[in-house]
This record gives sequence, C-alpha cells and structure tokens, in this order.
Amino acid sequence: MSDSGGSIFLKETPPRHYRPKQPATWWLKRPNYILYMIREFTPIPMAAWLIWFLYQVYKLHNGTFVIQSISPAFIAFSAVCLFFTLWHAITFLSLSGLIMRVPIGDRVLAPIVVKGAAFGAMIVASILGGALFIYLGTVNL
Amino acid sequence: MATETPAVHRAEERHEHWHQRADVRPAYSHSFWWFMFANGGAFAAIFLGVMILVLGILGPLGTPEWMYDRGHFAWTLANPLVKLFLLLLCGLTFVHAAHRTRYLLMDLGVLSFKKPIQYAMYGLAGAGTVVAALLLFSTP
Repeated sequence: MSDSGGSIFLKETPPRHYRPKQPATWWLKRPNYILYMIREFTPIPMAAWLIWFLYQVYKLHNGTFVIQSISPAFIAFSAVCLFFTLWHAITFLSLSGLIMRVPIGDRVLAPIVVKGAAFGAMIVASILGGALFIYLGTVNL
Repeated sequence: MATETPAVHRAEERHEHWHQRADVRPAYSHSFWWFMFANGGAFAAIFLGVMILVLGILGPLGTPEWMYDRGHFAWTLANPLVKLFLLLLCGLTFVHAAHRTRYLLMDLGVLSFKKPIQYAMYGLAGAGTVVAALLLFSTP
C-alpha cells in the first residue's frame, strides 16, 4: 500500500472489446449472401398473404364478403407470395436432413431419406390439399 | 496468481455430456421459440404453397374453390378442423416470420435495439395469432 492509501499497482483498465462493424449493405457483396438474405426475407410475403386471407375472413365475419377478388393486381400479389413461399419451402426442407436426426437403434436415419420424406410430404399435401380445396368449391350447397 | 478454472472447462475435462452437466441450465425460452420457428417453417413449407396457388391464383382465374363465393367460404369455414388447421398455419407462420425478421434486422445492422425488436416481433406474432383465433372461431 502506498502512503496515500492507494494501490501501488497500476489500475486495471477495462478490457477493450473488438466490435467489428460492417455496413448494412454487406450482403450485396457476394451472390451467396444475397441468396441468404432472400431466404431470410421469404416469410414476410408469406405472412402478408395470410394477413390478406384473415382480412377476407374479417369481411365474411362482417357480412361484406360477396365474392373473391379476381383483379390482376391480386393475382400478381399472390404469384409473388407463391414465389417466396416456394423459395422458403425448397431452402427450408433441404435442411431437414441435416437438422432432424431420426434414431434407429444405434444409428440414425440417412439425411437423404429425411429430406426425401419432407419433400414427399410437401408434394402429397399439395396434390391432396389442392384437390380438396377445389372439391370443396364444387359442392352443391 | 493462479486463476480458477471455469466450471464449463472443468466439466469438459471430466468428459461429461452436456445434459449431465450441473453448470448448464436448459434455455427453455430459447427452445420454445426455436420449436415454434422450426415447426412454423415446416408447416408453412408443406401447406402454404398449395393454399396460395389454389386460393390466390387458380381461384381468381376461374377454378372453383372453397373461397370463391360467400356460401362455400362460410360453409367450409364452419368446420372446426378447418378452423384449427388455419389457426395453426397462421400462428406458426407468424412466429416463423417474426423469428426470421428479428434476425434479418440484425443482419441489416440494427444491433442497438435487439431486445425491443425481439419483443416487438414475437409480440406481433402473438397478437396476430390471437386475432386469427378470434376471427376464425367467431366466423361464420
């Protein structure tokens, strides 16, 4: 201890952290980064389409729904949302083989089988769901 | 001066599995949102595409489907299984979108408001799910 009552050792300085700073446009530098950001963006159009759908339910609830919109703008909106939904489906289900580990005894199911099952479920659901949606529209009430 | 070995390193030295370590606690909140995110992604990937294709493109182009007119829309929506399916689709997709948008904003450099963004995104997803449930189960 020094005469003044303070420490004779140098004061500890707080650690300096390295904080990397990158511009908000970093993802424009490489094509793979752009694809990554598009993948991250895909749920926004998906949610937007579901919000439109809920708005139609709201109109039905209020009694103002008569017939579905057939405007070209709405079809274009749906086409854009479908594009991003398929982008999401392909990128998301492609990862299923890596993420989902299905144990069988001491081993796990091969990733290609898990991935195939995921895409198979999507194809079957699309065919059966599409047929059901159309069938329900042809029922005589 | 000898420094004390952190508990994490001591556990690693004893070759303990992560789920046997006393110093590691399960992150229940993180696992819940991750569960919702993953299932939302899978659910939307499997079911949303055909829904948009039929209801958003083929229907307006003239193919009959259950949402085309008021009668079929109300009749189909009266089925509780349809309501449950639509609620799951909306809720899980909203959470998935919230989770991804949260990290998308961070990727775009919005790092100063991590917590507010987290609460806002999941709050919006929760509110959207509640609105969807109220609408679906009170209509027609």
